Amino acid sequence: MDPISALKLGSFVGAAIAVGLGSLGAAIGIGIATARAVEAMMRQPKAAGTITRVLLIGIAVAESPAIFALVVAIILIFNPGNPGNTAHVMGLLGAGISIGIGTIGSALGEGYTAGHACESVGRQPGNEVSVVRTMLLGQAVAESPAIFSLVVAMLLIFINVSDSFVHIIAMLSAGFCMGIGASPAGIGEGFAAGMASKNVARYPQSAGIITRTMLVGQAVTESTAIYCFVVAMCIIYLT
Amino acid sequence: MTITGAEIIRAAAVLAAGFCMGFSCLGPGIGEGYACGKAVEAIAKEPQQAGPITRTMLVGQAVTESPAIYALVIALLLLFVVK
Repeated sequence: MDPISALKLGSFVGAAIAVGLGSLGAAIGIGIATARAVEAMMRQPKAAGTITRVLLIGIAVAESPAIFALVVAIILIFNPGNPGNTAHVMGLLGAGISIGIGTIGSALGEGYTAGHACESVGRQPGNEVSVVRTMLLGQAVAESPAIFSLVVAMLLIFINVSDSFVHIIAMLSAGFCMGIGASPAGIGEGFAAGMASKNVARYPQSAGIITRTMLVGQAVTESTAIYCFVVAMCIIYLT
Repeated sequence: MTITGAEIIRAAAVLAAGFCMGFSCLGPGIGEGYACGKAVEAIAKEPQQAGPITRTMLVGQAVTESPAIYALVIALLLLFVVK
């Protein structure tokens, strides 16, 4: 295969993987959030305005991992770099895998958080401010595995590596490591954030300790994504 | 491009390290998040029991973390010790 076709193959297939898998989590997560919001509106029609407001804030955040994937896909299509290096072509594929699989979990988790926030705002419309605050804090932490995936994807696109067989495999391996490793941490953190938003509305007097426990637990959950990030960095830079 | 046997072994070790670390986080990531969510729920219901609940959550998460740490050790061995 001539070098230009190989580069195009890598960039186009990488972009397809990035957007194809990256939109999967966001679609399911936003679907869950909207379903819970509709259910909450059915139960409390008077709170429909508040629920819609919380839903729109929540799904805007849950959409952001899919937007990361879209940005990486656009970079892959329009700025794939110079042809002639097989390791670079594999890096483009690896970037697509990293951001594609890595954003599934974050988006799912954030959608779950938004759903619980809508439901609890429907029950206690007076606690809207504290629920939205907890939801956004939890979603911000659940976003971080997707950000790790984005960093690794950008590195895989723009790094200069020598064209050896080990580097060709290493680019793919780093993408899989970060992508698969980031996803479950996002789901777990989203679940924790969802429980916190639900209970902040029900027990507003213990909002402080709920938020603190949520952040401590999420920090421990984050460590698995950090291990994957460290190993992916070692694979990229030290092979 | 000619590929030597040593290069194939090195490439296999690198690929194995990536898959090892990635797949091993599937369980701990979801499990620790679930434990945290349930602990948050329990603390919201019984705020005066916050100390023991947080302690139990952290102990449970530390044990849940161990598979990921095993995989980290194996991945680093594959990357830096296997030649």
